[in-house]
Amino acid sequence: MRGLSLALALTALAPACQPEPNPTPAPPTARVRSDLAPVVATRIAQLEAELASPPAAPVSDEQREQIAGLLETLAGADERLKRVARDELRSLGEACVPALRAQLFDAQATQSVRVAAAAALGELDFPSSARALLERLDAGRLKKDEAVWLRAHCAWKLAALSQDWVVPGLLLCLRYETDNETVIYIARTLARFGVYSGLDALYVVSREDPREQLRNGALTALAELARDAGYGDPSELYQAWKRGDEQLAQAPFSRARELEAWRILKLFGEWQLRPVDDGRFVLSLEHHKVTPLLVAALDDENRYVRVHAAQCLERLAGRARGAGARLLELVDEPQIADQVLLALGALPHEPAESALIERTGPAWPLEIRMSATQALGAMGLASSAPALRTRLNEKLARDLRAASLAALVRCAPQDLSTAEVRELCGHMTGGEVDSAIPELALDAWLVHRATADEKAAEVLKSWRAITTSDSRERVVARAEALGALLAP
Amino acid sequence: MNIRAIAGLVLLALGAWALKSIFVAPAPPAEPVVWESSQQCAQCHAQVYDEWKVSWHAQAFTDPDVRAQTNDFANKDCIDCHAPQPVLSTVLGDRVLPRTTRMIEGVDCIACHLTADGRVAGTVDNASAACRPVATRDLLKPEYCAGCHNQHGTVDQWRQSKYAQPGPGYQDCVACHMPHRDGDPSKGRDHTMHGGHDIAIVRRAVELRVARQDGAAVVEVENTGAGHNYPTDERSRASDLFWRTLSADGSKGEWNALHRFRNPYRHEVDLVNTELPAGQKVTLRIESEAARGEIEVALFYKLSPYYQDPQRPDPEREAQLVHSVRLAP
Repeated sequence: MRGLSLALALTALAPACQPEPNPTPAPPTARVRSDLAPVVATRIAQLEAELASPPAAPVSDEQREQIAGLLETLAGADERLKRVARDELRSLGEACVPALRAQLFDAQATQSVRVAAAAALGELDFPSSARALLERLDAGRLKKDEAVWLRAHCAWKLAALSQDWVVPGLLLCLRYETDNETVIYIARTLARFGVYSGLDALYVVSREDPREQLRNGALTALAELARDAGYGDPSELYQAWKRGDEQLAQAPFSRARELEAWRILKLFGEWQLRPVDDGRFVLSLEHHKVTPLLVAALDDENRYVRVHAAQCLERLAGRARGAGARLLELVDEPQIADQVLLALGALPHEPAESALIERTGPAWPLEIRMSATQALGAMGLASSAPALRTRLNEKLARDLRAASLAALVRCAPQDLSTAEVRELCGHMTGGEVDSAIPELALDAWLVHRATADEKAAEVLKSWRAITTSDSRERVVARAEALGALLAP
Repeated sequence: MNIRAIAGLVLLALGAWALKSIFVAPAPPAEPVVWESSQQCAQCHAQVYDEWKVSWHAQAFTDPDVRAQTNDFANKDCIDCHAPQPVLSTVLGDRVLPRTTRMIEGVDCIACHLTADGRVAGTVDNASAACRPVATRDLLKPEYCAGCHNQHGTVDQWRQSKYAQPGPGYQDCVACHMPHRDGDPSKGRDHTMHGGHDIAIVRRAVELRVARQDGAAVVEVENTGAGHNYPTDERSRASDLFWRTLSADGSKGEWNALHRFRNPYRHEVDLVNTELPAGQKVTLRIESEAARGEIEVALFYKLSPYYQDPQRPDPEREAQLVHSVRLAP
């Protein structure tokens, strides 16, 4: 029995004597946050309570008849009578909004009555009148529209109101609008609320619309918006908007508009990507003043809300510069660090340079190194170049190496050797990394070289003339064009 | 042999096993691997890697059509599904998130197999193998595919079909799109993941039947083989029914459009979804006088929805033939 006891004891001891598995080292970013909260839901609840208004008084039959009569007058030709009718409608206040809204959506109503209804709504500065105009503008996106021209009217009349909360809705309409006349009015109304994200669309209409009248209309809008904003020409305004100039940062941003933005942020937690894509589009084109909301959303308990809020900050770029300090505090947030780093580069937030450089080092996970490297490139500081050069002397994963070279182009294009430019060119055509990274970097390098080198200017011209949408064909052709400059 | 001898042998065996446990170490756990590329997987899983390499998952980020449509992914919203973070880095069935590395590999080995704790989801547990696989039954669940493929409702369509009902007829995503190699479970699953880009699998999805009724041609298309709508997923996919006259001298008339199966793009607000759900059929009549003679009815399939000349589409050149039926007068 002693033998049996010994055997059982040895059996019991055996597992304890086996070597411990090597513990997996925790990556530097694996720090769990304890300060997350239902930020979005809380802010929506607060703002909805704050902005709640009592239900509108019911419209009497007498008022309804009066409104119908006034609308007929508005649709008539007598300017004096029309002025009187408008005054009468204004005196009736919000009570006449439902009847006017009904005319907007009534396909049987005459064109002049519907135009008159849109004009009247544009003179009633209530949330309900703005909502009616916005809904009619949006209707074209939801179903086949029997009156496309009415959308342009609605977009135009929204500019007459002080209801800036329509901006997110207008931006979404801009995304889907197919009528270029309406596009022009949406862009103008957005500008009225301090948002110049419609400039891109105006440029497209001015170049591509087959109708000369609309092309000229877009050009006129561009010139007027630049003038009204205090800029010499549209391109100055365009650059100032992209940079997030302070001069454009002062537009009002109402609590109601904040509520709209929070509702979009809530959609970021949705499973379907469609509302998420729409939300990213809208908030990325919003005014500077959406930035504090996005910063607050970085503390939301929903990971998707945090990730997409960081993406919006990256895409707002200069207009989100106010987010820099908070983003820098979040560079090690386990679930969003890569997006936070990209946002820091895009703003750009220069105090983050040393943190970004540190995160290009071999102790960090590859995705962090990649984001940090790309962020340094986006920031483009010459002082980052030595650190990037150090990395290039180390063994790097292929796409990290291409990203490091691309970042070096942005920080110190004069530092690149011909061999390194050739290497970038190889990355562009080799099919081993995303060709867009070296392709864009080489474009930037050519722009730099072209300032002092006539041959480079010629190559840049032929490089940019190659515009085939098939990226594989394009990069091969561009590599050939570049070869003329790199030949020994 | 007496009891004492048997007990002695048992004791001896137990002792030997215990000593082995103490002094002969088991295979040590493998060092954690830093996963930088799916090429790392090829070292041990060459066949799977080679299959995946020619799959459309591998081309999710590099396909020229996708790159053109996304402006080389300057539209970053598309990266979520075309170069996703590992499915298991979020909760299974949740939406995928975009990644910033090895984008070129698209939907790669790492995207589907890397677990949140850095191991590899597989069919067996083996901490001492290089990739430290951990048996993961979830790999077979439709939720695995849903993060991307249900964005267009494909998994929901399957849930509504007979194939999702428990029982002998149950067939999930992997049953059709990742079958066992040669039908033999011991050979593992095919990672080429055939789908809408493979005309052979498209042909198995639907049947085309044509008959005469009161002189008119009656055309039926039935979704008999797909566990989801026909076509499904990408909104660019379309399947078009055409017919044309056939003359005794061998000449053929122009193709006449009869019906289109497709889920329109978001901006095509005046179009409705005409995809054909699993198990359902549509019946159409060709009333034209010209169709009372001999005709050919054909079902075509396209990966991009538009024809070069919408007024005179040329499906034989711009689409792939799925089925064709000749109908006598």
